[in-house]
Amino acid sequence: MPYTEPALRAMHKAIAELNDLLPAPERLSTAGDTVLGGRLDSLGVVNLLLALERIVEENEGVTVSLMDLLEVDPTTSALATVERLTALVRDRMQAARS
Amino acid sequence: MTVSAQRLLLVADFNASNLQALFANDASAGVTPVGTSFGSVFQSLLAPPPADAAFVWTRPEAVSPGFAALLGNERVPVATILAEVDAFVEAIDGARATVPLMLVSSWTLPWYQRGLGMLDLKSEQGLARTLLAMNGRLADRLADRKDVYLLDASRWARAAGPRGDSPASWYAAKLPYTPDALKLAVADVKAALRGIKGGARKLVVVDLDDTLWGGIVGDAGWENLALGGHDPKGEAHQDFQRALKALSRRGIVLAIASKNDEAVAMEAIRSHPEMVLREGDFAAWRINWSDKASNIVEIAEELNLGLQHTVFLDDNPMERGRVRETLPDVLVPEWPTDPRGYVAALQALDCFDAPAITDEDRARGAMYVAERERQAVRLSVQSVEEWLAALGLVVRAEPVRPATLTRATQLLNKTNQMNLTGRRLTETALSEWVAAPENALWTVTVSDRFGDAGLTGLIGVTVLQSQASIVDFVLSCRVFGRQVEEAMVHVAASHARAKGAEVLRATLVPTAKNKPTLEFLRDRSGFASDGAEEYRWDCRMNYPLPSHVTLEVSETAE
Repeated sequence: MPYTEPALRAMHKAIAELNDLLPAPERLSTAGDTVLGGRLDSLGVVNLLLALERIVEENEGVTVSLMDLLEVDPTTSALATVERLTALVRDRMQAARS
Repeated sequence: MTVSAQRLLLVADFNASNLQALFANDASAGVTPVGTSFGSVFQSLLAPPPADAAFVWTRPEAVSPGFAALLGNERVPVATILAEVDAFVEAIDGARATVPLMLVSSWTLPWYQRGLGMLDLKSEQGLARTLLAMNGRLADRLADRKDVYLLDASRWARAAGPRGDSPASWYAAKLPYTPDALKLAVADVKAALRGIKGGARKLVVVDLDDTLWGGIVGDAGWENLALGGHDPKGEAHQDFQRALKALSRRGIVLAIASKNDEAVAMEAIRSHPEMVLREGDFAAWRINWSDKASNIVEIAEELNLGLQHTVFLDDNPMERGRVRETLPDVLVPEWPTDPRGYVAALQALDCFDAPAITDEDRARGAMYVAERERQAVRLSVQSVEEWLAALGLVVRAEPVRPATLTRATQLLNKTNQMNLTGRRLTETALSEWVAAPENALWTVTVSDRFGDAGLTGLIGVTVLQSQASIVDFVLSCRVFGRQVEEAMVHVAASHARAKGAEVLRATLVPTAKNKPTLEFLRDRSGFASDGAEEYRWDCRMNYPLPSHVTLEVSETAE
């Protein structure tokens, strides 16, 4: 599927940046089933989404907004896992390009 | 209070949680960051929680309502804004009662703020012009504050570029700066704390071939090196030498470790017309085919500088890797493959940050050259006594005074080997200690016929009735081995005796590095021992002054 690889690369880089800001025990794996919702605090979620927005724009030249995710239940939405968030980023990149 | 900066208070008008996280996650910072409520800068400064140091980072509109109005193109007299800067300085002064060390960031504007455009530096209402005035005022007002340092936030903004400021993160969480910019600030704060604790690097050991000049001198001959001329590579190497020379003028000692034939390499240094650095710019060199790590150890020993104060620059990644692995205390920065990047790589190093640059710092390189000449004489005479007599040594002791307080503090905090207790004090704390009537602190300057080593020693003595104690006994390793130590004890013992003390005590606080102090006390001082760390002199006896020393003691600060 288009944008799967770019979305995955952006996610890995964003998690690496986020991990700089997290205490060692709380750092995230890039594995798809890594739980995000309920694990990251609100600032952690903001930092991850901001990093994703910026990296996607820098690397792919596509502007996506993810701030609407701050308004939804993180445990059931696209924020639930790394895999689901990556899929959302991929879809939004595709939508922004179409 | 010491300057160990265990607790670092973060005062900001924005959400500093990410800044706090970066400090907390960086073990090398050696601090426990303590956050304050954002948006309450003045309140935090007026009643700060106890901390060893504070980092105060504000946006100009948060400190100056006048500047905030100016952002909306309201007309505001510059004097009004500068008065608000003064109020900020007063708040910083208030915090100093609780927090002994303050690091304050200068003010910046985000890169996209163009203000009045072409008028922004011309009009009195221009944002850029007003911000220059504000930063100038802040710098002027803080310049004479001891233990307050203004850090240049504009460099963080320049280095982070457009990625440094983020309106998106501001709207999301009141984070005006991205982690990229925050990391630059953290690095500068760490460098400042390290420098204040005496951890600044003092020695740069540099390779020759393809580092100081382009090409292999042993193969090409000095006439064919890429150095200067109308050639990008040659110009870059020459500018790198200029950058090293500039570094040496602020007190960083230069040395050479190179795999070469010494005669060939030295001929290049002496003869190449476009060399900026000459023989007299290097305090020491090891130019041979031996392992560079061993050569660096020898150089550091020769100069009496610790490996933890040493930097090694080499274009060869194998040599860098070898030294890094063998000598983990030596800083070996990654180095550009292209010499056009050498100057920037050198100037970007933050390991030389120090809280003051004194005349002694600026003359340090020349002092090492004089020492080399001194040692040459030593080799030419028959005995140590003959050598000492030939030096014409003059030791001058005088009470510390405002003009020498900065250097005295620096010496106290930097000196490891000849240091009785290893205590570290801020300039303010040292000044307060001296003010106590029972205490006395002398600075010691040393000179001989080869040169003036400058202010290289400190003696602090407390006299309480019949008991006197040496509190600080500090001597730069530059003047070890000339019996300056004995002359210093003579000063302390004479003072104790004059004040009516019967006993002069010296209590050693062992540190990882002050073994030379132990050896002096135990083996050469003449003090009686009351245990491994307790020494005393009976003040009823005169403490002898070495015969080759001319001692000049000033009883009052001049």
